[in-house]
Amino acid sequence: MRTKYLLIFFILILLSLSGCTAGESPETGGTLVVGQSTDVEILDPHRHKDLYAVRVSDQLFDKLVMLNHQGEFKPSLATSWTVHDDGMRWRFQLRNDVVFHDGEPMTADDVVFSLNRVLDPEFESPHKGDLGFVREVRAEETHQVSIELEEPNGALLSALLNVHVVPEHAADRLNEQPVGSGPFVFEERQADERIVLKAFNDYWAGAPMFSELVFRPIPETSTRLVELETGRIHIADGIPGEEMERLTDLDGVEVASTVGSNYSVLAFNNERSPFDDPRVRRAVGKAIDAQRLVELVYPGTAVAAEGPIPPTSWAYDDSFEGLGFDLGAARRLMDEADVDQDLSVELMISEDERMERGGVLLKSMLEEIGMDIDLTALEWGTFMERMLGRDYDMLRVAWSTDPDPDALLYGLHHSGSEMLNFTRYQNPQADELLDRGRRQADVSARAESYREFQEIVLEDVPMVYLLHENQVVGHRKGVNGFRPHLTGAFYFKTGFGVNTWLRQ
Amino acid sequence: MNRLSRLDPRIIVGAGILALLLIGALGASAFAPHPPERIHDDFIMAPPGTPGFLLGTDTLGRDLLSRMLYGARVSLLVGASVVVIAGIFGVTVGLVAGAMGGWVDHVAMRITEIILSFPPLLLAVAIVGVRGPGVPNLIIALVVFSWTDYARVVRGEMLALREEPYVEAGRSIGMTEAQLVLRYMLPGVANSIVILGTFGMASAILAEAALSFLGLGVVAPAASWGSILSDARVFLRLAPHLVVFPGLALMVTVMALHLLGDGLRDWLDPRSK
Repeated sequence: MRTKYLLIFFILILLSLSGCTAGESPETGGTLVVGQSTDVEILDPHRHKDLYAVRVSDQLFDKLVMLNHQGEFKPSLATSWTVHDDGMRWRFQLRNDVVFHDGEPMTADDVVFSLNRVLDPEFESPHKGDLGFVREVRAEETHQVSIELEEPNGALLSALLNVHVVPEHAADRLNEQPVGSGPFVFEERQADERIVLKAFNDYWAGAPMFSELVFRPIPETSTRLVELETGRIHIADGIPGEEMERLTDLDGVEVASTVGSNYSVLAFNNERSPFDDPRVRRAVGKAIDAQRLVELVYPGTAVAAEGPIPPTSWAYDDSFEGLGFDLGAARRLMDEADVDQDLSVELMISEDERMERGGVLLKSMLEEIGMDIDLTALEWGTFMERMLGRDYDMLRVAWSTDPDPDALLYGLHHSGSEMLNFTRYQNPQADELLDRGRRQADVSARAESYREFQEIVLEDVPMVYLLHENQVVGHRKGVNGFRPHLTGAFYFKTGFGVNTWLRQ
Repeated sequence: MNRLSRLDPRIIVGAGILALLLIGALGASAFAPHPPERIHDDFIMAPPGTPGFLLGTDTLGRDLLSRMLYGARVSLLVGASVVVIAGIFGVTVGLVAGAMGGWVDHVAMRITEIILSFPPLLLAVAIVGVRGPGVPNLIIALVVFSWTDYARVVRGEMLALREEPYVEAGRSIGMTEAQLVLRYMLPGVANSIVILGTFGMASAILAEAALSFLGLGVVAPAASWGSILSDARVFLRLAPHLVVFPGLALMVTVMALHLLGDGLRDWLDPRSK
C-alpha cells in the first residue's frame, strides 16, 4: 500500500518536472497576430517605402544583406561580399540552397532582375533614388552577382537593405499574389481587415516556429492597446510613452523599446523671412528646450537630440554638443537680428496627438523670444504637399530612414536633392562633406566626414534637431525571442539567429 | 402674475443651469484658477482633487477646470451666434415666403429641401474643410444647415395665420401686407421661434463639440469641450477625468436647454391652459 502511494508520488514529481522543462523549451505551431496602426495596401516590395508595408514584405522576401539588432551588416541571401577596383565594383556570393515559395530555386538572375526592376526609370520605384550611383548589375555565375558603380559608394550595403529579391518568373503578379523566398508564404489579404501568411517550411534558415502570421490594421491607439491587453493580438506597435508604465505592470504584456534611426526636426523655410536670417534660426534653436519637450510629450519614448545622427549609429559622436537651451542668448540673437516687433509666423504640423501637443509646447517656448506662433494642423497629404512645395514658415516633421548616415542626411541637406531638401538649405561645404561621406568605403573615414558635417549644420541651423524617437512595441509575454528592430521592422525568423516562438 | 407663479419647474432648472454656465463663461478670467494655456511640467495628467487643480490637469499639465471655463465660452458663443444668425435669416425667409406665396415660396422651400437633403454634420465638415478650421468658419458652417428649420416652421405657421379672422379683419381695414406680417403674424410665430431657438442652441453646441473633436473647430492651444475630449481620447484609461468632465458638461448643458425648451413650449402654448 505504502509503495503504491510512493510510486504515485514519484510519478507526480516526474510529471511536474517534465511540465517545467516543457515550459522552457520552444513550442512549435500557433498563430501570431500583429496589430499595426496602418493598413498595408501595396504588397509589391519594390513599390512601397513605408514601414508598415516593409514589415509585411520582410516576411515574404529576403534581401542580400540584413542589419542585426546591433546595427551590424549580416549575410542573408549573400553569404559574403568583396570590394574591387577601388570601390567601383562589388561582388556578392549568393547562397545556393534558396528556393522561392513556388519551389523554384533562387539564382543570380533573380537578384539581377530585382535590382534592375528597382533601377528601371519607367518602373518608378521609390527605392530608385537610393541606388542612383549603380551603373550596372551582372550575374557572374549561377550564384554570384557583381554590381558596378558610377563612383565609389560606402552606402551601397545600406541601399541594398531596401531591395527585396523577387523571382523573375513570378514578377508580374507580385502585388496580388506575392511570391518570395522569405520565411512566410502569402495566403490572403482583405483590405482594412487582415493579411494572412503561412510558415514556409523550406525556408533556407529553417522553418519558422509558429505556423501562421496575421497582420491586422488597427488605427485607433486605444483600441490597439485593448486588443493587446485582452490577448486578441500578440504584438502592437505605436505604444504611447504615457501608457508604458501601466502596460508593463500588466501580467501578460511586455513593452520593448529601441532607439530608432530617425530624427525629428523643427524645420525652417530658409528662403522666407524671417528665417532667411541665420541669427533668427539660431535664436529659435536656442529658445527650445528639447529635454523638456521629451519629458512632457515623449516620456520614455524618445531621447533629446544633439544633432541629426542618432545614438545608435556608428557615426554618432558622443562628444558632439548641439545648440543647447539658452534663453538669454536666444533673446540677444533676436535683438541683433532686429526682426519685426510683432512677428507672427506659422508652425505647420500634421494631425497627430503628439505633434499637436508638441506644437503647443513649442509655441509657448517661442513666445519667450517674442515670436507669435499660429499653429496649423493639417491632414498628412496636405501637409506633405505644402512641405514639398516649400509653402510654409516652420514645420515639425520626423525623418526616419535606414541607419546609414547617408540615408539619414543626404536627402534633407544636400543642395542637389531637389525634392527632399524642402528647407532649401544650401552650403557647398555641407554638400562636399555629404558627397565625401557617400564616396568613402572606410567606416571611420566616413564617420569623420559626418562629424564635420554636423559642425557645419550646427553653425547654419537649417533646422533644429529636436529628438530621436524610440520604436516602442508591446507584445504578449507568450511571444518569445522577439524584439523590435532598430529600423522599426519586425523579424521572426532570420539567418542571424532570430527565431520567435509562441507559448500557447 | 398668475402665469409666472405657475412657471414650469423645467424652465426654472434649465434656465438656472444656463445662467450658472453663462456666469462661469463670462467670468472665466476671474474664476479660472490658472491661465488656461499655462503648462505645468510637474503635473501631467494629474487626477481630480490634486491641490491647486480641482478637476485635475490635461496631457500638458494645463488646468482642466480653467480650460473648461474658457471652453464654455466657445460653446456658448457658437451656440448663441448660430441661433441668432440662423434665426434672423431663417425667420426672414419664412415670413417672406409665407406672406408672398407663389414662386417666392416655391424657390425658398426648394432651397431648404436641397440643404435638408445633406446629412447636416457632413455638410458642416465639408464647409470647414474648404474654409479651414476656426470658430468663425465653424459658425458659418452650422448656420448653413440650421436656418432651414426656422424658415420651414415660420412659413408653415404663416400659412395658417393668413386665414385667421383677426388677420382678415386687418386686411379688410386696408392694412398693407407688411404691416399685417409685422404687427399680427410675427407675434403669432414668436413662441415657435423661441422654442426652436433653445433646441437649435443645444444641437449647435453638440455640433461644435463634434467638429472640434474631429479637429475642425477651435485652433490649438485654445480649448473647447470637444477639443479637450479629442486630445484626451488616446489616454482614456490613464486619465478618464479628461473625458468625463467635458462630456458631463456637454450633457448637462444640452439637457438644460432641452428642459428649458420643453418647459417653454408647454408654458407658451395657449392650448395647454
